[in-house]
Amino acid sequence: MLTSLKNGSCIARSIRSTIPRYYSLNAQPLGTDNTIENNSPTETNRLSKTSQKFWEKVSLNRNAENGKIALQLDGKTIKTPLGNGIVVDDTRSLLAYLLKLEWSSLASLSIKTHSLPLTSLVSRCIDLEMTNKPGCDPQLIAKIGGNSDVIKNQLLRYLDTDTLLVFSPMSEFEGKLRTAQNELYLPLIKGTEEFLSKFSTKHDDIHLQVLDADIHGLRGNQQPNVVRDAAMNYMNSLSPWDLAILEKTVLTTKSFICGVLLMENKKISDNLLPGLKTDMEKIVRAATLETIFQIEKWGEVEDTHDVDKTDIKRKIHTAAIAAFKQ
Amino acid sequence: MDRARALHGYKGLIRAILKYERPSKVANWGTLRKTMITKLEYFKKQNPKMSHEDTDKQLESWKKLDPVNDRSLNLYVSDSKQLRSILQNDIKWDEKIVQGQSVDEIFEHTFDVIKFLDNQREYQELVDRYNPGNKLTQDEKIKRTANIVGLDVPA
Repeated sequence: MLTSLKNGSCIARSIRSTIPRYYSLNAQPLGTDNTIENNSPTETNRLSKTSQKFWEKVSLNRNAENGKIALQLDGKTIKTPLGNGIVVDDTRSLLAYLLKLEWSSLASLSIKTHSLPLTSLVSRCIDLEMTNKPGCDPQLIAKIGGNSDVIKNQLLRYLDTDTLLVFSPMSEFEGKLRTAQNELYLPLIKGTEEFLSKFSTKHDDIHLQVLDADIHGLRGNQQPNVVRDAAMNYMNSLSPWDLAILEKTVLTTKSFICGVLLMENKKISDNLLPGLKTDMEKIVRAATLETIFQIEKWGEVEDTHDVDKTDIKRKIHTAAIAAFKQ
Repeated sequence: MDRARALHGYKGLIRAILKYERPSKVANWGTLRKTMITKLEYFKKQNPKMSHEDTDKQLESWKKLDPVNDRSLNLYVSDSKQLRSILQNDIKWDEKIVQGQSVDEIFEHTFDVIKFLDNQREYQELVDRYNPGNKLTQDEKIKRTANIVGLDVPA
């Protein structure tokens, strides 16, 4: 009896370990808590359950002493799903204003999960920051989807089959798509290679492995270890806040390079590599280039292409706003 | 040159915020209108002996109010002072210029903010348009479900 029970549990465990975890994670953000129902008594949870407006006034409370701005409902600081207050630095006051705008322009009954993109991203940033502090409750870490090492490893997988590293065959769209890809992707790839080379431990020149449908056909793609190490070093250099934004961008665009581009372009400094200089519109275009060509050829499908197009734009710009520091 | 660009950016930002806020403003005015009308009518019923000239006037004006089409309700940003103070004081323009940093990124960022507001609004409009049932209350949903099979929900 006991042995069979043991065997049974062994089988269950072995099946579980043979199915890679990421198959079920593909479509959703890495860190959302969808295993256990989250019942922490926070404003964000209450809103997501009732979708009713339960407050009168949204305000920003500025604390001049520690240079922080708190987002408040009727005088109480709003909490993230994990129970941390939504408080941002003084240097992100524009972000704070936009957060307030987001909450003040909600109307009852029309509140949906997509109504508060900035708040959800900022919540994730704050939660990740808090769970990365030493001595954090392991249960909270599990709720956010593992510590930042898990997230980094998951993100690294996007570099293998990066949207910007996969080139379509010359025969498609009479070669127009390939020409556009060459024009748009190659300079960005070159810039990223130059950028990642700075993070290589042995100071090697980084070369990203490209998947060219004309030469390689249909197969997977994998980056050499030097590249993976450099990318890992880059992610290690980011703060938890920035890592959350990188994650959002990479998951939205399915491209690690796009994530690097967004982060570097929103970091205001004069030493931005000229090869990396781009804008958000261009990032969106790069991530959706193939769809753009398909729409041109076959037409736009209602309730799909138009929604997706605005969706990716709003997500990228959300990430851009959260990444910006005055 | 920079002045013109700043003005262009600020105008665009205000316009985007106004458009973004509009649906919730319309909804809020709608609820306020409803409560005010109910309150005034209740007051009339409670005091049948009083003359109700003033109340009638107020009632009239509330009933005339049409939040969906009244553009004058949407001419201002409710906290433009805060926004102005952030743009003027928090972004340290002078320091940046003295240090020789380029302010292009900040202008660019303003347009990114505008694009965010516009795309978020557009996305919500699209989702609402393709899922018309989303905005109904539970009661309304039940009523309509009953109607499909030819039944009425008791009042």
